[in-house]
Parts: sequence; structure tokens; C-alpha cells
Amino acid sequence: MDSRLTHLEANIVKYAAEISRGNPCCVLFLLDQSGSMGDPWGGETPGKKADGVADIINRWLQNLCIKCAKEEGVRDYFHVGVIGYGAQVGPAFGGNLAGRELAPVSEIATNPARVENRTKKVSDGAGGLVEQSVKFPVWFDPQANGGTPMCQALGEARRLALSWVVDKYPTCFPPIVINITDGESTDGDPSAAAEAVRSVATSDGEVLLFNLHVSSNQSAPVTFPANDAGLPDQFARLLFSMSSPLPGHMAAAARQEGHQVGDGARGFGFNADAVATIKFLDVGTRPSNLR
Amino acid sequence: MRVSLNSYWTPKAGNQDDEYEDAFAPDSQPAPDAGAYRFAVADGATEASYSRSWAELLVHGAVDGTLDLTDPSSLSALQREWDARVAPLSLPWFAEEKARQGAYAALVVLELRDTPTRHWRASAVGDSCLFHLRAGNLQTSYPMRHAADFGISPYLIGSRCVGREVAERLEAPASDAWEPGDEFLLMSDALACWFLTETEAGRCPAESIAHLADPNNSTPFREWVESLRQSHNLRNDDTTLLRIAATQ
Repeated sequence: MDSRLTHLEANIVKYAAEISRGNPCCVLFLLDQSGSMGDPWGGETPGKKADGVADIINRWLQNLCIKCAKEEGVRDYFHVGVIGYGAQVGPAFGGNLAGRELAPVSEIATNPARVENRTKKVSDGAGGLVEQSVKFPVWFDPQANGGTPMCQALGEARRLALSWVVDKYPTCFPPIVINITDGESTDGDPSAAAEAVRSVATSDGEVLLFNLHVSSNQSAPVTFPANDAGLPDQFARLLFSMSSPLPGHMAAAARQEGHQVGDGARGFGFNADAVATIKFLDVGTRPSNLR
Repeated sequence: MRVSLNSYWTPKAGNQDDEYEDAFAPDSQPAPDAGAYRFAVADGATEASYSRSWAELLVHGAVDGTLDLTDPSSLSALQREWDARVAPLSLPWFAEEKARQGAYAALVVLELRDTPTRHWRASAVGDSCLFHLRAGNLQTSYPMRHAADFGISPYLIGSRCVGREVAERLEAPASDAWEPGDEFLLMSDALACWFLTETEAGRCPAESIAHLADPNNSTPFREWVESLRQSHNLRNDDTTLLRIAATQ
């Protein structure tokens, strides 16, 4: 009987729940805002790591709002939070959303802290480039001071995920937690806190905890490894061990993006530059089944 | 030549009727002895906005002859019409960007003629399908031939794409002779995938579909679709079926 149960359990498809307005998905960013995030990103990425990562998440939020927009308005397929950790640990949204731990995407769309006018170079259709003014909504600003209280941030993530799952959506696609950091935890070994996050589960699977290490190092980024054999140090191996395996549809998306993704690949990136960070977020937040 | 049409549709479970983004045409019984009849089903993409409007333009264009998929330049007039519907709207930043990206839809078109000979012709872009049945047996499956052919991201006709792209992705048109009593089924992708899965398993899905049109049938289409969804045999998607019977 036991073996039959095990066999049946093994055949239950996880990470396949439909994401809908009635059963939305929670995406939570844990964003390292320690002093070292004020260092240059280096390589071909100008500016500080904190500025670059803030731009990338603001643009990700912008794209999410567009993705969820329909004729009648924005459909709340997702609720999103950004928890910063550095000198303080807490919600990072500015403007009307200040203090909000999670906000539905319709509220995010209509409440940027401000809309900046930026320029981007686009093709002029004759082989040249011209500058074009584009609107750039900003929901939160970069910060870089203090230590790296990763354990505390993971504790916040567990609290929010637990409340989401137990109080609201026990059958939803599991919450996705993306931890973006450039350094080692300064409030202890985060392994147990990470395990506590991953142990929160809906009927569709455990919370997905993905870790992305951003770096000024010029070494090539390592993304979605299946084991820790090629990782350079103890710190990288620690973040790898904290990371969830990629569900099948995300692994397929990563392969489609040109990543070498083996069986058992984890949602982990090391030495990421701006391009690798954007690709990582694209894969790690890819819905499998949006209604 | 006489042709009878049964049309069925339902939105995704959990959505309202006005959120249905497939489209079909015609929506009434064709007049007898017209010599030529056209039918179309389009499946508007959930990820885009104003998809229903685009899907409706495509099916009506295909049926009234404005659109000929083998001549992609005929798309331009429909694209201008879609743009004219969307452009005057005052939209917030996210909706404006979404509309700028355009709407997308799959389309399958069937034309039946009885002159000079009884023949049919079909064209398609994407994964909406035609099945030609004779005495309940599947003669032709177009453009998808196997359940495994259904991918997550089929090529779709864009309201802002250039005709050349559509020409490159147009499935090779299919054609054949028809005989009185033949049936043609046009379906959007979820039901078409179910139909091929059942066929490959050695079952006869055409019988279930024929039963829908039986006057003694007590299970309406929506109830039947819901039971297939509940048993995980049908993906939760907008679902459309046209059943066309050529009787003489």
C-alpha cells in the first residue's frame, strides 16, 4: 500500500495550477540594499549595482502591468512585493504604495511613485539610430547602506508566503520568492531560514525560492546549474543549496532562451551582470498556465 | 447544394461570456443553393488585448471574401479597421503600450463549393483546426495532424504584423472532394487537441459531437465541455465548434 501511495504521489503534477484572477500568483522580491550594492556593477553595465537592479525590477514591474492589461483594465493575475534588506528590512515601494508588502498588479499599474521621461536609441529605419523619449514608471528607488540581514529578509518572506497560502490561496501556483544579493549574509547562516521559506506549500507545490547573486566580478555568469561542482566558493555553494529546482515549464523556458539546463537545474545565478539578471527574472517568473 | 450549420461556444471556466476571445462566422444558417460557402473560426490570444475584436474582424473578413490568407496583402484593410477601433481610445500608459503591441489570433477557414465539382478548400495560420468526416470517419485533419503537434506558442496573425510574415507561416492549403453526407468540424485549439487525442486512442470523438446536435440530446454543449474540463481531458480555454453538414 505504501509503495502504491508513493507511486501515486510521484505522478501528481506540481507547478501546474492555473494562474487566474480568482487564484493569483504571488511574486516577492528580496532585494539586498546593503552598502556594497552602491559599488559599480562593472563590465558593460554602467552605474551602481543598486541603481541597475532597481531599474531592472522597475522595468519588470512595467512589463508585468502591460502583460496583465486587457481592454477593461489590468487583470490581477499577480500580486507583487519588494522587500528591501540593508540598514532596515521592509517594503521598498514608494509613492502611494509605500509600506505595502504586497500589491495586486492593477494597483501597481495605477500607482507608480512617479513617471520619468527617459530616452532610448531606436532604429531610424535607414540604418541609423535616433533618440526617442519613453515614459519610465518608477515604483521604488535604489538604496545602498548597512549590512546584509538575509536571514531576517527570508523570515519576512516566510511570513508573507504563509499568510498568502494559509489565509487566502491554498491551491494557487506557489509563491515565487526571488532573492537578489551581492554578498554574504551578515545575520547568520541563512540555510535554515531558506528551508523554512521553501517548506511553505500550496496543493500545487512548495514555495519557489530563487537566488541571484549580482557581481562586479568579470567572470562569466553561472545560471541555472544542476549541481554545485563548477561553483567557485563556499558562498556560491550555499546560495545554490538554498535554491529550489526549476519547475519543468521554467526549465523549458530557460532552454528556449539558450541556457544549458540539465536535469535538476536550480533557480540560481552567480556573478550575474545586467543581461543575466533580466534573463533570470524572465525565466523565474514565467507563468505556466495563465487564464 | 444544401449546407447546415451548428455552432457552439463557451468561454474559459471562471470567465464571463463577454471575456470570450474566440470568434466564428457565419452565425446563422447559410441560405441554400449559394454555390459556395465559407466558414471560419479564430482564436484570439489571451496575452494580448482587443483580441476578440481582431478575431471577429478575421472571421468576418474570411467569410465575406475580404480576407484571403493566400494573399497576405488582403490583411491590411482588416488591420486598418482594427487600428481605427483602438486608436481613438484614451488609454492609460499600460493599456496604450499593450494596444501598440497589437492583437493576435489563429484562424482556420473552410470553403465549400459544388461547381464545377464538389470540392472543399481550407487555409489556416496557427492551431485552430478543420476535420473532414465521412460516415463518422476522419478523412482529413488540418493543419494539425497529431495531438502532440499542439505547442504552447503557435504562430498567430498579428493586427500589426506585416503580411509577408503571415505568408511565411501560412499552412499549405488543403483541398479535396466532398460527398453528400460529409461533415466538417472547425474547432479552436483546445477542443481540436481533445479530438485528436481521442482519435489516436482509438475512440470516436465524432460520435460525441454528433450527439450534441441530436434533438433528443439532454446535455448542452457547455455542460459537456465542463465535464471534459473537470476530468482533465480538455484544457481550460475558450472553446468553439462549428459543425457543418453538406447534405446534397
